[in-house]
Amino acid sequence: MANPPRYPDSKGETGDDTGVWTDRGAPTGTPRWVKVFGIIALVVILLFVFQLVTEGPMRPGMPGMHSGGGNAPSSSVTALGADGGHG
Amino acid sequence: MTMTPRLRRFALTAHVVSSVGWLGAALVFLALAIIGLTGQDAQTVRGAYIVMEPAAWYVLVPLAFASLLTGLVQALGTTWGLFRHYWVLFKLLINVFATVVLLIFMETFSIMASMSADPTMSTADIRAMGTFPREHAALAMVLLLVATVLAVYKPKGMTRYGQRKQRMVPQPRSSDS
Repeated sequence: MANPPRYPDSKGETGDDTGVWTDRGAPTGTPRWVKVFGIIALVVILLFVFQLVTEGPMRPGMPGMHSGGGNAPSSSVTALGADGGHG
Repeated sequence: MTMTPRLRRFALTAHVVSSVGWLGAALVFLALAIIGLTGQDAQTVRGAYIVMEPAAWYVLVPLAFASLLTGLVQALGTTWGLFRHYWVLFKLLINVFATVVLLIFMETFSIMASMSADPTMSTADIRAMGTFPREHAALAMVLLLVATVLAVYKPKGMTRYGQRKQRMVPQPRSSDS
């Protein structure tokens, strides 16, 4: 009946963030929120890596861009772009 | 290694201040990016992009590292641990990912500032690069908001490592058994 709280933020919350608690007997499977967050994180990372590989840290319209996007600015780009500037 | 309550509270305060400060700085960058995209005055548009580089170096980068460092201290100095709970693990991944992305794009801030300071560049050309900081400030805000929500709600879920470690710790006795 008076089992210790399974989580600091459940019954008996102290708001103290001590982390002193027990989870013995809790289900050991991966919670659903972890799976959802994991999939979202994977998608975000893949999108970012894809953008980095295809465009580099620069964006179309900026000097030093990898791809020859069609909306490059017309003026002064060559002068500024001479120093490269992409990773 | 567990900190004393006084030290733990100090570390927690430092972590909250740096993390929420980082979130606030990302919001300011989003505002600057929107000003750069929609501003009518050419000087204002140029100024918005010029100020991004020093602001990123003096505010975003220090806050990012402060948040990461104080988070590590907070995790390792308490029984929460760094790899025991999924919410701590996700916060760590978010923090590291956001810091790496920030560092990768610091050079871009520098180039944007150079372009904006160049009087031969037209306002339209400068405005054309405005989608980049808007997208990244928005992404940073979403990531940091998720990290804040995780820190406040602390959703349940222990990693296998956390479960293994917990089995090794003696459990307190139930008082009414």
